[in-house]
Amino acid sequence: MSLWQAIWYFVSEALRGMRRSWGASTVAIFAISISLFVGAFFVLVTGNLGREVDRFRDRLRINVYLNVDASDADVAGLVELLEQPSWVRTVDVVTPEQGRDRLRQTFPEAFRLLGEGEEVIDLPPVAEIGIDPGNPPQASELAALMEEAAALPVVELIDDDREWLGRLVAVVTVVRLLGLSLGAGLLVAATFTIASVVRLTAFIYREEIDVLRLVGATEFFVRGPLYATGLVQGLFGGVLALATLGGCHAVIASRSAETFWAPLVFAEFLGWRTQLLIIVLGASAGLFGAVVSVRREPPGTTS
Amino acid sequence: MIRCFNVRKTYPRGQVALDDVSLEIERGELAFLTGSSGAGKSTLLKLIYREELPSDGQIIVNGRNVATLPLSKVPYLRRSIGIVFQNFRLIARKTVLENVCYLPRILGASMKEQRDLAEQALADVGLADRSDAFPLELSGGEQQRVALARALISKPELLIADEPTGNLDAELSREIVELLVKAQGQGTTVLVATHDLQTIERHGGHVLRLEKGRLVEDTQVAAPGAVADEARE
Ligand SMILES: Nc1ncnc2c1ncn2[C@@H]1O[C@H](COP(=O)(O)OP(=O)(O)O)[C@@H](O)[C@H]1O
Ligand SMILES: [Mg+2]
Repeated sequence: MSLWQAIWYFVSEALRGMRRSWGASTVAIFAISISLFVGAFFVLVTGNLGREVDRFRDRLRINVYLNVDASDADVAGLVELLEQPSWVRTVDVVTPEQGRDRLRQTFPEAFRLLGEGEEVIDLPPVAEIGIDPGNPPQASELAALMEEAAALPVVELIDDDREWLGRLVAVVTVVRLLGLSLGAGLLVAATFTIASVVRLTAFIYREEIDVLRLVGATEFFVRGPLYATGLVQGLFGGVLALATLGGCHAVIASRSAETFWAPLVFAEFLGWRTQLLIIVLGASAGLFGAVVSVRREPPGTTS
Repeated sequence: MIRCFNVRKTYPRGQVALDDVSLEIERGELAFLTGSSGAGKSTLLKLIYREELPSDGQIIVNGRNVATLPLSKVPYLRRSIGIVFQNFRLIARKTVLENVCYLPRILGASMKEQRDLAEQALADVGLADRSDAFPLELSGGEQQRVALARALISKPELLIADEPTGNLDAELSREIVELLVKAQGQGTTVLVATHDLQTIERHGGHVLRLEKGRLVEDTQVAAPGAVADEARE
């Protein structure tokens, strides 16, 4: 018998067996799909959140405020220091005059109220650092530069978004880890469910298995349908999980205009690699459950 | 065909099923294994088709030493042996045809080849018209004939029958024995465990008698017909 013939035979026997004990098979498929759904849900949500964070990180600017009385030489010295790292794309110096123009544009009403007393607003020069999104710095590199800058006597204050951004990244990571471990735990449970169902299938078919061994079927042939049962259940579970998640995503995405959070966490669906991974994970878990359950049965139990 | 050398079998909890059994069954023989219940008949058969391993001694079946045969080779041994049991061991939810087809199917025969082989095997046991029936729709005698068709479908070199008539009345038993004899006539070595002494007397053959795990008789019994034929000459 060729390999393809054998695989065809295994799968058709597996489907026949699943139809026969459809209740147990349904439980197994649901168990595996729930675990994969949970894992995939967290991957989807945290993936989108992570992308959002990255996008923000790209636009991240760091402002270094100098003393109000900083000289041009001081400013030039600071710019020279800030321009050194390769990940710094731009250093824009905003002079007090430019700063005042910006303020005027942003708050024209306030300026009109202040009237001629423009000089009252004493703005410091600011060096705005733009980071190269294609070559972002390590957190430690960034911190080192900021420390060096802060040590300069002309630097008054450094304002950057790193701190809360770092916190956000940590939260996303924790949420993802929690979701993945929850999914992994459920997957282990689902694997055992499949193992039990396959064992039940082997029990239902024990007489036929005995006959197969009696007439000289190899163990590969005897166990193939049982392995295929686990594999097919895992596969169905994976597809069901993806389909459910896809449905949820479509529904929420269609109403994303109504909520502020939906675009953050449901902007994009999982990439095809992740989808494939989920299905492969389901199939492997099912196959593993089947192998574990069949391994316990010693061959040659014809008597 | 079968040679046993000082075979001993002790089951895990210490029951001695076979004790120092040596015997030889020639190719093409009709051999009867007799003895009261518990004498060790089924155990000896299980050793021959490698369902159990001997605790001691050697067993050569069709040139293979089954005592040392690796587990992975057991299927190939089994394919050269047809086996039937007292309780038929048919699969109730499969048709007669499907029950008979197991061996050709695992060997990868096409559906048509399977059907042709199975129908021939069923015709050989007189059940040509029952292929689509289910086992439980058949009488006990017919079920045993289906089991025989399954065992004989690929013309095995050895046919092993463990009390094949134990569940059948005298008339049906005779039919089954006729089929065993017919298989022997076509070149298959036949080994039957039975305590039906009438059968042996009627057909003659190689008689091996076990008693409490020991071989106590090993004789060739001539068929009465043969004796009558000789007398007539
Ligand atoms: N699987 C087994 N485990 C333990 N003891 C067994 C087993 N099979 C048979 N025996 C014992 O071995 C002896 C021979 O049994 P068996 O070969 O079945 O005899 P027979 O077929 O002649 O009736 C008996 O004492 C029986 O109890
Ligand atoms: Mg017995």
